[in-house]
Amino acid sequence: MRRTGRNHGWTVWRRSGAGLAAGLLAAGVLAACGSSNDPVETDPNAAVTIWAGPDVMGVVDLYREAHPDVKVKVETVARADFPSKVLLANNTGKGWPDLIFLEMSLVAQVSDAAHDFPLDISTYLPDNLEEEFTPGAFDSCRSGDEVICLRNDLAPNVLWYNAKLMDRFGYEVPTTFEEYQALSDQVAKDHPGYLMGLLDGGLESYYQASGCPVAQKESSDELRIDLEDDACTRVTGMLDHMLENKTITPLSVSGTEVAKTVSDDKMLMLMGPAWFGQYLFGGTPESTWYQTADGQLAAAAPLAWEGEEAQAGSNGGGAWVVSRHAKNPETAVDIAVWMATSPEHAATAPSLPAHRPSAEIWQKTLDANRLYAANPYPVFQDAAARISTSLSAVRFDPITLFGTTVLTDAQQGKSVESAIETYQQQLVDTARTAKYDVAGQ
Amino acid sequence: MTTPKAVRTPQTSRARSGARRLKPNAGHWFLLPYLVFLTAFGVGPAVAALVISFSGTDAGMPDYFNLTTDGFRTVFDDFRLGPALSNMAKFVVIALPMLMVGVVGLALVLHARSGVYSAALRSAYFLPGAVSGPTAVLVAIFMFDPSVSPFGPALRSMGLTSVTQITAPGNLPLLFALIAFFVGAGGWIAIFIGGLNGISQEVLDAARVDGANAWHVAVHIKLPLVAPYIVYMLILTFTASVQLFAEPQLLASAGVPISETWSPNQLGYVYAFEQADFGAAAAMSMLMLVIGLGSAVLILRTTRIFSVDSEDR
Repeated sequence: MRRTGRNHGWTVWRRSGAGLAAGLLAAGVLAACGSSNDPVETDPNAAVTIWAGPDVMGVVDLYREAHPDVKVKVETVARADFPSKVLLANNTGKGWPDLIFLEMSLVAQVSDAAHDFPLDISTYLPDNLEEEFTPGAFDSCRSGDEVICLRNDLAPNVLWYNAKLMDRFGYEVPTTFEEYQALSDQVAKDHPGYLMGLLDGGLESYYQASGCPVAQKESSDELRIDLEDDACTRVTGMLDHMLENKTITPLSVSGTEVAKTVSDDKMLMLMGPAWFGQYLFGGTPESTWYQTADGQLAAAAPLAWEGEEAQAGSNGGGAWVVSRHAKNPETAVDIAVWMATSPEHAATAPSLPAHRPSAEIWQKTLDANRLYAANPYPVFQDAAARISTSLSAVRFDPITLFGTTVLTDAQQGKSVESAIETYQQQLVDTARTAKYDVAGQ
Repeated sequence: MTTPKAVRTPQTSRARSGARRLKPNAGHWFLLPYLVFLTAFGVGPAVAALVISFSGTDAGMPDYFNLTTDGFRTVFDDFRLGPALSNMAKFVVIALPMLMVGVVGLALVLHARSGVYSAALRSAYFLPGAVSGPTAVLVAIFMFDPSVSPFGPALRSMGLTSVTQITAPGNLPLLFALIAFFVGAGGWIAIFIGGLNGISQEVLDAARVDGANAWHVAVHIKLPLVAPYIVYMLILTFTASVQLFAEPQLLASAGVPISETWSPNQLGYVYAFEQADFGAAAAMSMLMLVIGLGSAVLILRTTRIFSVDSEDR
């Protein structure tokens, strides 16, 4: 039982942090703590503190090489802890970073009234910068009239497929969900055992891509959650159909079974984010899925419902956030702009830049990759501009909830339809605990 | 009941020192650093939590001079509290008996035949305890996945071919109990062996002369003599079990779909560090404290260990 004991010590330590804050407050240090609404004294020569996870360390180093005269301090952190670190800093009145790279859900978490971390950077940004971004990307950082972050990269879902298998079987790549479902019956009959998708990630791949209001922001504190909407029920029906004919599996995307299916060359297609190509399919001997790169992987536009414009799901991507407590906000914003838009970074960026001129430079890295049947960049860029707002970045985690309700139920052989009501209820309840108003509930 | 005096020595000497309690001696000086740390990191934070649990929360900061029960109301109205308590209860119901019976049983078996094998086995049991909690969870994830586990064939022969079958929601309490057993058992076995070694050889020899076999000795002589240790273990194990946190938290981050509020302690963590509601988090901690203290008092009253002590004086 040692580990729970140790963990108890940890919570106690956290609590003692709060206790320390209590002592400080009682001693009347409150005024000096600097409530977050107080104006911050700025100093154009102050060093900028950047908190970077291991994945953005590379670009931070690039920046330092290119700007030896700018004073920056870099600290490595685990981003998932960031909201709690902000609270701790708010309680003690110091300890915020000036600049940090965050996933969009973390941006949402630290911008509520309690965390109140981001600076409105709209007045610091160069004019017309917005026009250089993929449509919708800049907007994902807007909160009312404020711009609270600068979007770095995008992760639109596309329809990945195995071009060689499709050729061999003589199938056409579907463009609509209706064709996709019809093809699944064909595959189930002619080539049982081949997969056309995963339920894991299905919240983004199917529900968001269908425009289903899973957690649609109406305003910064109001959400629309309605899985009874037609845009949702049509997806539920399709998923149950394809789970039934076994062309979709409820197994985990990161599990060994799915990895084996792909390396056995039995993954026919998969709705998944743009970065799956490089990071999951891979095409190198060390890769999780494809160990060879011989032009087998291709990307097609996200599926549309017949008679509708296609929308895309999104799974990942992040943004640079400047602290409202930054002593040197101008330099901090300059650095953020450099990170998101510089050609030097674009050439080596790990994923699709939200800044279009950067994306054009970045796509050359895809050209060289022999994994792809054709450069998927045009598909990525088209999908990136179609990302649906029906699943917004919110202060709770709809994707994990989907996993603990719909996905686990499906793994036990139950239908999506039977689990979706529980999921809806948990979404609404959790949204309320995260202090959202839920429209129409 | 005639309890051999020899085993009682530690307690009688403690009683004697209790009589001269007021005169400071070396023992008190040795105790002092502990008391300092206990106050700073145990009692102090607990008092702070008590204060915060009755404070409001304003923009993520505790609002100290505002007496309110909002924190407790948030906890008791929360739709996640019921499932979390029920998960915890299922875990405790499995883990506690497994650990108590397993540890006491193994210790008695090891002690029945002392020698090289017994010592080697004792070390073997102790080894998993040297692996700290989070690492043990990672090892467990590896062990539970039939496609990579060294026990894969055994798991598959039971019809378990996929890790998702094993980590199904209904199995989680058992999985966590297994992890708790393998991490916790070794340390307790070592403690029990120590306790059993303290039993006077004369008593054991006398029992054998009277015709007791190994089973009789274990059940009728050794077990009653180490009973205080068992009660002590029961209290500590129960308190640790209700504070389950690392296992579900880590399993979730390893990609197993588990609610982030699976256990009550996780719910408290979510209050503090995701919802920025320190009042509710402190109220949750108080609830856990009440459960822990309440069970300790209940166990002590029903087993009356301390009352046996006072009869001696």
